[in-house]
Amino acid sequence: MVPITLYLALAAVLFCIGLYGVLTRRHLVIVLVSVELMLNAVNINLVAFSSIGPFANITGQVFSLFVITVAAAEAAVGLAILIALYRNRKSIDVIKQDLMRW
Amino acid sequence: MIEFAWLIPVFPLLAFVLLLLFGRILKERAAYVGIIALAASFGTSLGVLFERIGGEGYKYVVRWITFGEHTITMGYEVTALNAMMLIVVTTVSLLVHLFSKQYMHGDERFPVFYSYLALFSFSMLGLVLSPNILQLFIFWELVGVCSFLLVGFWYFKPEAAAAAKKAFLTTRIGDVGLFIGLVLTFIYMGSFEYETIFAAVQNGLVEDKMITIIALCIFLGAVGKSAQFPLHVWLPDAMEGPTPVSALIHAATMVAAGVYLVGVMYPLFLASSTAMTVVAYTGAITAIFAASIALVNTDIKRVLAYSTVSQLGFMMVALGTGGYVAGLFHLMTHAFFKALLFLGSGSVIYGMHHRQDIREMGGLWSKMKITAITFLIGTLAIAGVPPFAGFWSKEVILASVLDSNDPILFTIISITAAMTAFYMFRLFFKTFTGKYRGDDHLEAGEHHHEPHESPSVMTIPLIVLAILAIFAGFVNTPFSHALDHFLTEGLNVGEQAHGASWLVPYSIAIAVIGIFLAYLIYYKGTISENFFPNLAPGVHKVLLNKYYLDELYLAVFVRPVVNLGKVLWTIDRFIIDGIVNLTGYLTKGTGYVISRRHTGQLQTYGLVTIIGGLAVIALAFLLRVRGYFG
Amino acid sequence: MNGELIVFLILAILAISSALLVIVLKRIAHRVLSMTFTFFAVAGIYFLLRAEFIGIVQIMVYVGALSILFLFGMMMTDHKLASYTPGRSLAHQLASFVGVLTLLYLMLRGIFSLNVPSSQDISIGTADRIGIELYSNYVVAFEGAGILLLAALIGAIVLARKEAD
Repeated sequence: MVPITLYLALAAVLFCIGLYGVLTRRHLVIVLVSVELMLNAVNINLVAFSSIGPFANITGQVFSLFVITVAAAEAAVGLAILIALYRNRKSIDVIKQDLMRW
Repeated sequence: MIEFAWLIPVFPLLAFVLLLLFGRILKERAAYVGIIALAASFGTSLGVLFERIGGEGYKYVVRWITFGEHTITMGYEVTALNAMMLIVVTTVSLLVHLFSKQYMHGDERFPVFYSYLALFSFSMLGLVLSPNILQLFIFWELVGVCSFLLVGFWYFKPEAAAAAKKAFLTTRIGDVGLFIGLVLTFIYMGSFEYETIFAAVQNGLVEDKMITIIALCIFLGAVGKSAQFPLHVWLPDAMEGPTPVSALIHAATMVAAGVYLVGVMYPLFLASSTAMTVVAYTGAITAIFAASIALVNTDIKRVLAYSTVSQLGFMMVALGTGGYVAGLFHLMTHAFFKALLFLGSGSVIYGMHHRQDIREMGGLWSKMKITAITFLIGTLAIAGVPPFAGFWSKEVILASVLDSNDPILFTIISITAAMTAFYMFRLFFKTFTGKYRGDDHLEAGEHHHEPHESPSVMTIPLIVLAILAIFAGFVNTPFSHALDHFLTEGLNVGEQAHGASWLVPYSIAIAVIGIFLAYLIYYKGTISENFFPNLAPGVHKVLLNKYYLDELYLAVFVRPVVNLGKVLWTIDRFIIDGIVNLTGYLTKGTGYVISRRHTGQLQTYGLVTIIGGLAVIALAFLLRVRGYFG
Repeated sequence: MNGELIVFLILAILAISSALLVIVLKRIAHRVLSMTFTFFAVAGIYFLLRAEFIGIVQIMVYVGALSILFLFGMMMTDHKLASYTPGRSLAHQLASFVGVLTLLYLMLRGIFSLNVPSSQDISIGTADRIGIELYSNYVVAFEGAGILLLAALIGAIVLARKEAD
């Protein structure tokens, strides 16, 4: 029997790795990948509480299903934006995407 | 009838509203609206007066504001004094309305003029009917506004605009005094009601010193409004307004409001001998001062203006020496004959095609018969020739002054009376007798204008006023003291002096001396016109320049204030605005510096967000350690 | 030390190490592959938690669809490494590292100081239970998710296609 804290700890670690990736990588695809990592970490939490939490309930898994749906949609739209961006600016370097400055 | 007294000011108010709404459509028919309204007021006033003569006063008030134990009321009151004033105001106002119909004919803002006149009549009648001093003050200010509007009626003339401003600002000084007086009254006597105030004074509830201060403050208001020395400077300038306005406001009614105010508050003044002395001497100084200027002035309206100032001084002297009836009696007679003189001068100016300098007139007797005769009646009345109205009122003033046992005052008043007769007849002779001098100063290209008699709509008011100027005096003669009893009945205003028997020939003699001198100089030419100026050229020059008072005020009050204003403007411009601008630049600069941090780098934003979040958590921990969250 | 814990540890180490590789590796393709491994490991975690349906969905959506999608995204854009070599400035990287580490420390401290009783009978997330739940309590949200997917589909097409002048 694995205690729930271990699942939570795993999720926290994955979340922080994803966050670090979002903050430091210059390639937009990798940034998106990192976002997916963070979403996965969240899902682990949801499923863990749903299965072995104090109030074990199927609702958590339904929610994680919705999160996966939204993540898929986000990835699709995100990549579409990325392609449009690349076509217009000839680069997907995060540092160069500074149109929205002052 | 008397309970409908409130209708008297309401008629002109209705006229004002009507003219305000439909003035543009009515055009010159606006005159009829005003005339009908004033006729209605006049009729009502007559009814009220007759009922008052036989019966009791009437007072109707409603509660306006209650706070604590004090109640302020509004309403109207008919007393002997204001019943008389109602007649004076409505009579003169009605006649002026008639007169203006022709005088203002062709003016672009004809309906506006009539609406102002109506508003003024409303305010003045409201002032007279006020049952307490606060309501009086409200109408007092309204009257001031109307005066401002009417003096500046021809605002496109710079002199008129300046005169309106001057009139407004100068009277404002007095109004501030009056206002302080009002506040003090309320503080020390707890009420604005006349009866309460007088009762408090009589029962000795207020210190003598405070009574004096309050009386002087209220008198300051009267000084401003009645153009007494040293606040008289606005009245001669106010002659820039249309002549009917001068007749109505600046001779007969509004300027008399100051005298009326002193009359209304008379028991208060009686309680303070200092205040009485101040009133008397202010009046005396004003009287002789203005009369001396009138001796040399050459503008027909300004001479009359100075004579008004001088006559108002007479009234103040009378009030100041205990002659309650004398002052108010003179107020009434003066209203009639001065309105007559002003309308007469208006008729002359109209006939002379808007020229006002008496040096350009002369010989108008044959050309303007009616105007000349009525003007002569007015002149005789003001000079104090029996049996004209002015004689009787001036005689009681002299009696009152004599009764006060003050030889200085008596001397001043006697001399001024003689001067009055002199300058008025100088005016009359210069204008109506001798040779017509209007063509002497024709410049190239100017046409000869034959002076002509004014149409009947202008002469009828003159005739009516002339009749009043002859007979109004008979209400109070040494033989019958009708007005005396009427005004003093039930009022505690002290014993009224009736004078020694030698006063009648004395005052006649004074008048005759003045008239005879004027006759010698300006009609016969026995003494040259330049005799007196040559005798004392310095004095003549000072008089011509009105004692340099305007220049003095300019140097002492106006210039420093203007300069102070400029200094303050500079401070405002450079220091205050500088601070404001600095704040602006500072904000802008800060904004610029911070906006440079807005790099568009999403990852930087994310990092900052995380660090910020951590900082919040750290703060929460810190506060928890300190015990903020228990 | 029972078998379940061992499986968990293996999966956890796999997930964390491949997640780290996503950050550390140089080539984009390698990174995406490494991400796929992470997703796999997470799917394993789901199975361990008896959430069978979610685990299957995880494999189908993330491993099957998203990885391929990211590979396409990578291929259609700039996948050469040359333009990304210098990376973020050292200060930025260091600040991010310290910040994220602090956050992790705080979270772990919170998690381990938490006293959550694990329920003993594991509820099994079978497809029929989730289906009944979806079509009863969450039917509106479910339809909403459908609309969202449709919008994403159309949006992606509109955004990604060339502008037809």
